[in-house]
Amino acid sequence: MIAPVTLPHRRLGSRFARIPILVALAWLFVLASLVAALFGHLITHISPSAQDPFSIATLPTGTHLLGTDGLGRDVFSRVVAGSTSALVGPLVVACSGFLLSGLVGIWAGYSGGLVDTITMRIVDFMFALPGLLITIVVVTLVQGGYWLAVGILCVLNVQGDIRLIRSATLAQRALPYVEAERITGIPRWRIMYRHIGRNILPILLADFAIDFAGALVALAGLAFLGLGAQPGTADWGLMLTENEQILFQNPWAALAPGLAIVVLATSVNLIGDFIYERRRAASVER
Amino acid sequence: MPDTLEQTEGARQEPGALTGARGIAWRLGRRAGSEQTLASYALRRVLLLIPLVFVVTVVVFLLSSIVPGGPVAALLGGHATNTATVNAIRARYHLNDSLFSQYIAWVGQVLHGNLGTSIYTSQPVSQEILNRLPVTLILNAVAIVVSIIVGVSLGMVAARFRGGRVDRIAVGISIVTSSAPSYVLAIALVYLLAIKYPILPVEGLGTGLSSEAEHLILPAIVMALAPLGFVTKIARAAMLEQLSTDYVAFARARGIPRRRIYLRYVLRNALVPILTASGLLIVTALTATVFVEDVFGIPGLGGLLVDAVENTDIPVIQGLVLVTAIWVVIANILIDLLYVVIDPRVSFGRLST
Amino acid sequence: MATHDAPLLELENVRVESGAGRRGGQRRTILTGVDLRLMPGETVGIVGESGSGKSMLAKAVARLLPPNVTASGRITYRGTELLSQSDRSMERLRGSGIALLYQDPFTMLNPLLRVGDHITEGLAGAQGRRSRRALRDEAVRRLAEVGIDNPDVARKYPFQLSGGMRQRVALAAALARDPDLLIADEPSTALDVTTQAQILALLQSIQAARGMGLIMITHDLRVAFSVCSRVYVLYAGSVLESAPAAALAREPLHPYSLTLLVSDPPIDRTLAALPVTEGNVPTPDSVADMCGFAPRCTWATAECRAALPPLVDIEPGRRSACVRVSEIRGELRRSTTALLVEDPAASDAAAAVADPVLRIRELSKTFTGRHGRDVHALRKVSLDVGRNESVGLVGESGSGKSTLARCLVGLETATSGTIEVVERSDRSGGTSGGAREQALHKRVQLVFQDPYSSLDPTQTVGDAIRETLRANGYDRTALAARAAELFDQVGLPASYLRRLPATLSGGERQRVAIARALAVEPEVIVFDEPVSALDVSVQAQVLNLLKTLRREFGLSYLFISHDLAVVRQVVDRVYVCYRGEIVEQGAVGEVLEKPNHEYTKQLIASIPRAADEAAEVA
Repeated sequence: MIAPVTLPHRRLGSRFARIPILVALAWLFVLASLVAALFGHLITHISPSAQDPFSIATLPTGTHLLGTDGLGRDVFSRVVAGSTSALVGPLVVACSGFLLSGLVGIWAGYSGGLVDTITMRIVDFMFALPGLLITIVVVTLVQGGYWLAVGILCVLNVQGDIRLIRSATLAQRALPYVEAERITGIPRWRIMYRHIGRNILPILLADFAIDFAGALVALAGLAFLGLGAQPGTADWGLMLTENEQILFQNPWAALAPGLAIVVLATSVNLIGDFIYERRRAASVER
Repeated sequence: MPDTLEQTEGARQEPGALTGARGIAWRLGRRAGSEQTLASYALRRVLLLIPLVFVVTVVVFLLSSIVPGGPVAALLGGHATNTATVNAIRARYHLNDSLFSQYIAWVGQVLHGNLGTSIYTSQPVSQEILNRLPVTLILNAVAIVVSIIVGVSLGMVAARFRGGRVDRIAVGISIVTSSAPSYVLAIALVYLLAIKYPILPVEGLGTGLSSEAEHLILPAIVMALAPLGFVTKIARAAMLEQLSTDYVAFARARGIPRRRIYLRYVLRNALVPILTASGLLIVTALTATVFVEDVFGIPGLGGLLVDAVENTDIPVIQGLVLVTAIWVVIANILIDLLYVVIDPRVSFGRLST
Repeated sequence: MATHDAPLLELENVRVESGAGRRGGQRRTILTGVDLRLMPGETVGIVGESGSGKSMLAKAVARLLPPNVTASGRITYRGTELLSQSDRSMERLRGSGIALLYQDPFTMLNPLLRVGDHITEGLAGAQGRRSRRALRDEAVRRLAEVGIDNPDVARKYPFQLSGGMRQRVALAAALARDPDLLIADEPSTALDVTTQAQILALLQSIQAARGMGLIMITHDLRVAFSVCSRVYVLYAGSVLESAPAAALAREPLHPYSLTLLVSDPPIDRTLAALPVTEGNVPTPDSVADMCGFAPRCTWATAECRAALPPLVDIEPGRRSACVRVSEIRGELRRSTTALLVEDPAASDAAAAVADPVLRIRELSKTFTGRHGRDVHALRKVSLDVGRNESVGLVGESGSGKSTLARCLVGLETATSGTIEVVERSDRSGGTSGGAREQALHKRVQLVFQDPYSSLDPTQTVGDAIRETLRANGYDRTALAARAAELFDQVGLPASYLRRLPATLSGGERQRVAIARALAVEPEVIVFDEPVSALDVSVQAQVLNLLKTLRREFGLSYLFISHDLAVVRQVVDRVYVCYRGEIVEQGAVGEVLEKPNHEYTKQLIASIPRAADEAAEVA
C-alpha cells in the first residue's frame, strides 16, 4: 500500500511480519464488528427486543451471556445488534469526509487563489462553531433521528478534513515533481487526483479512520443524551444511558456497550495511526 | 490547523557580496519586516474575527426559525395554542417584521446583555447562564491545565525513551483516552469508585467548599482524560521532531547540557505545535462538559443545555450557543497572542495566519 | 605545534554499523575499519562522496551516532579512549575538547534562541557565575572573532540573518568552549560561492590563531586542498588513500583519488569529454571482501577482488590501499593530465547568434511583498539561445536565474518583456496536429536540480515517461517502444522502466528527468543546476550525456549554474546574472579568462584552489 520504498531485497512476506500484534488485533475487532453487523441475527439465538419479565436486570448467566437489562432484554444480543448503527453511520460520515476532503481539499490546495480563499473562509467559520453542540441543538429542534445526526456530522466534520488535506496538498504542490508534471503538459485533473491524491492517500486513509472513530463517539454520545437513535432500538449509546440506572443490579448492561464503543474507536484509531506512521517511516527511509 | 504554521524558510540566500544587499528570496520571506508591533498583530487578529462573530450571531438567530412550526412554536415550547395567542405573540416579539429588522433588534438586545427569558423557568437567560457558568469554567480550566501538564510530560518522557516500555505505555494511554468518549469513562468511573469501591461522591455538587471540591474530583478527572490522549500524542510527535532537528544535534555536539537542551530546545520549540493543538482542546473539553455534567448531575452549562434541549427552551439554547461560540473565539485569540510570546517569528510576520 | 609527539586524535580500526541488535533490522556496515591520526594544530581533510561514511565518522568521534548505529575499534583523544567513556564524561568533553560544526546554517541554530544566547549558553561555567553584562560583552567579542563586528547581531534571532552570517554564528557557538579539535562537516557546501570562500578563509585563520586541530569533511577535493595540509580519501566506508594535500594533487596513488581529481572539471579549459568513471558508489557491504573501487576501476584485476586491501605505507606520509599501486603508479601520474583532453572546437564559438531558437527581450519580474515593497527578481533581461547552441546562465542564489527559468516554462508569469520561441520548420515527429497550439512552456522544458523530488515517488519511471508521451499526443500504440528508446538515449536499460524512483540513484533519476524532458520534444531544454546535487563522479557522467545528446539530436540548451567550471564544460556562450540583471556576456572562454565586470571577477576568485595554486595566481 505504501509504495515509495519497495527495495528489491525486501521479501513479500516481511510486509505482513511488520504489522504489530496490536494492530492485527484491532483489524480483527473491526472485522468482528462487521460480521456482527451483517450476520448478527445468526450469531445470537435470542431476539434483541424480546423482553423476559421473569429475568429483569439479572447478572450474566449461561443463557444471558451479559445478563439482561431493565426490561429483561438480553444484553449480549443487543450489543451484537447495536454494531449495525455503530458502523453504518460512522462509515457514511467517514466516506463523505474522504470524498469531500479529497475532492475539495486537493482542488483548493492545488488551485490556490479565489477557490482556496473562499474554501478556507467557510472552513474557518465552521471551525469556531462547537460541532457537537450544534448537532445536539439542531437534532433536538428539528426532532430528527439518527440519519439527520449522521447528515449534520457529515457537514460539520468536513472542515477539519478539508483543512488537513489542503495543507498536505500545499506541501505536495511545492515539490518539483508536481511542477515538472505541469511543465510537461500532464492534465490538471490528473496531477491533482492521480499524482497528488496518490501521494497523500495515506493521510486520507488515516483521516478516514479518525473521522470514523469521531463519528462513532459522537453518534453514540447523541444517543446517550436521548437524541438521534430512536428509543427502543439496540444502539450502544442508548444502552449506556438506559442501563446507567441499573448499574447496581447488572453493571454489564451499561459497561458492555461502553466497552464496545471504546474498543471499536481505539481499534480504528490504532489502524489509522499505523497507516500514517508507516508512510512517515517510508518517507524518512527515502 | 496544521497549515496555520507556515514555517518555510526562504530559499538558500546570501547577501550579495558586492553590496551586502540581502538576497531576494530572503527579503520575500521576511515580508512584514521588523516594524510590525505586537499591538498591530493583535489588532489584525481581532479584526479578522469580526465577520466570524457576525456569522455566529446569524446562525444563533436563525436557530429559532428552524424549529418545526417556526419561532412561535419555539416560544411556546409545545404548549397548546389558539390563533389569538399566536397573534399576540407575533406582535409582542415583532415576528411580523422582516427577518432583517428582527435580527437587528435581537442583536441590539444581546448587546445590552438581554438574551431573553427562559420559557421553562421564566428566568432571564443571562441570569441562568451566569449562575451556572462558574462550575463549568472551573471544570474546563482544570481539565485543560491538567491535560496539558500531564500530556506534555508524558509526551516528553515517551519521546525521550522512544521505542521503550515507557513510550509504549504512553502511546497506549494516548490512543485509549483519545478514543474513549467521556460518557463511557464517566460511567466506568462511577461504577468503579462509587459502586465497586465507594470512595468518592458521584452525584451533584454537595454543599460547602470542601464538599464541592470533593464532588468535583471525579468529574474533573474524566474531563481531563478526554483531551489527555490528544495532547500526549501531539506533544510526543512534536518532541520527536525536535529531537531529530539539526539544531538539537548541533547543541549536543558543542556540549550544551542535556537538561538545557530538553528545556530550551526541545520543549520550547515543541510548544508551538502543542499550542496550535490546544485550540481543538478547548472545543473537546467543552463538548465533554455536556456529558460529564449530565452523568454526575452537576448544575453547570452542560446540564443547562441538556435541560433546555429536553424542554425545547429556545432562548436558553440560543444564549448557550452564543456563549460557547464567544468562549471558543476568545480562547483562540488568546492562543494567537500566546504564539507571539512563544515564537518571535510570528511578530516578524514569518508565520502566515 | 608540530613538536608535540602525541597525536590529538587517533582512530584505530574504527568500524561503524547500523541496525545491530535490533529485531528485524538489517545489519549494515557504514565504515569498515578506519585508521586516522591528527596532530595538535593540524588540519586534515576527509574527502568522500555521499555514502562514503564521512559524516558518520565525525559523529562516531563525538559519540553522537544515531540510536541504532554503533561504533567499535579505538578512538583516542589526548590519550583517552572515547568509545568506553560514560555518556556523562562525553557530554563534558564535547564542546570543550571536541566540537562539531554542521553543514546547513539554515537548520543548525535554534530558531527561538537569540544569537547571543547561542554563544553564552556554551561558555565554560557560564550560567550564574558571570554577570549578564559580562556575558553579553563576551558574546560580542566572540562574534567579532568570526568577523561579525556589529554588536547588535547578538540580540537578533537566526531567521533575521543570511546564510553566511548564520554559519559564522554557528562557528562562534561551536568555539564557545574553546575546543582543541573542531570537526567541520561540509561547513561551506550550503553556501554561495563567494560566501563559501569567506567561510573557508575564516576557518583557516581561526584554526591558525587558536592552534586547534581541524578536521574538514567535504565532498570537494578543491575545498580540502585549499584548507588542509593532509587529506584522507574515503570510499564505501574505507580509507583508500592518505597523503599530504599538495602531493595528492600532483600524484594520486589510488585510481579512485585519480577519479576524484579528474572528474572535477577544470575552469581554465573546455574538455572534449569529461573523464568518466562508470557506475555508482557501492554500499560497503556489497564490496566487503574486495577493494571497494574494484567494480568501477579500469585497472582492477582478480587480485583486487580477492580481499579487502589494507592501507599500506608507500612513502613517508603517503599511504594507499591499492594493491597494484607500484605497477600502475606511472600510469596514474600520466592520467592526471592525459585524461584531460581539450576540446579543439571550443574556442571558435560565435559571439553573435545567427539562428535563434529562444529570444528573450527585456524580461522583468517583480514580486510584491506583503507591505507593498517590490522585489525585482529580474530587470530587463535580454538573452538569446541559438539553434543547437548551449548557453550558460551563471549567478548565485537570489540572482534571479531560477526565476528566469520558471518564467520560461510558465511556472511564473513575467511582469513585462517578451519570450519568443522559434519553432523548427521541419517539426513533425510523433506529435499530433494539435502541437502548434501548444503553450509556450511545452516548447521549453525544464530539468530540476533535485533528482530526488522531481519524480512522483508512487509511479514507476516508465509510467511517468509514458504518461508524458500520452499527454503530448503521442500515438498510444507506440508508447512503450518510444519510452524504451528514450531510456536508451539517456543511457538507462529498458528494464529500469519498471522501477520506482526510490530504487534509482541520484544520477539515474536525473537521467529519467532528462528523458522525460526529451519526451515532450521541446525546442529548448533549460537545466537548473542539474548536477549540483550529484556526486562528482556521477556529475561527469551526466555532463557528458548532455554533450552527447546535444551533438546527436541538435538540441538547444539554457544551462543555469553557480559552478563556473561546470558551465565551462557544457556551454558555448555565457551570461552572468547578478541581482536580476545580466552584467556580462560572451563566449565562455573569453568571459572566464578575461572577465570585465567586478562581480564576474569575484566569482572566479572565490573558487577554492590549493595553497600553491593560489600563490601562483597571486
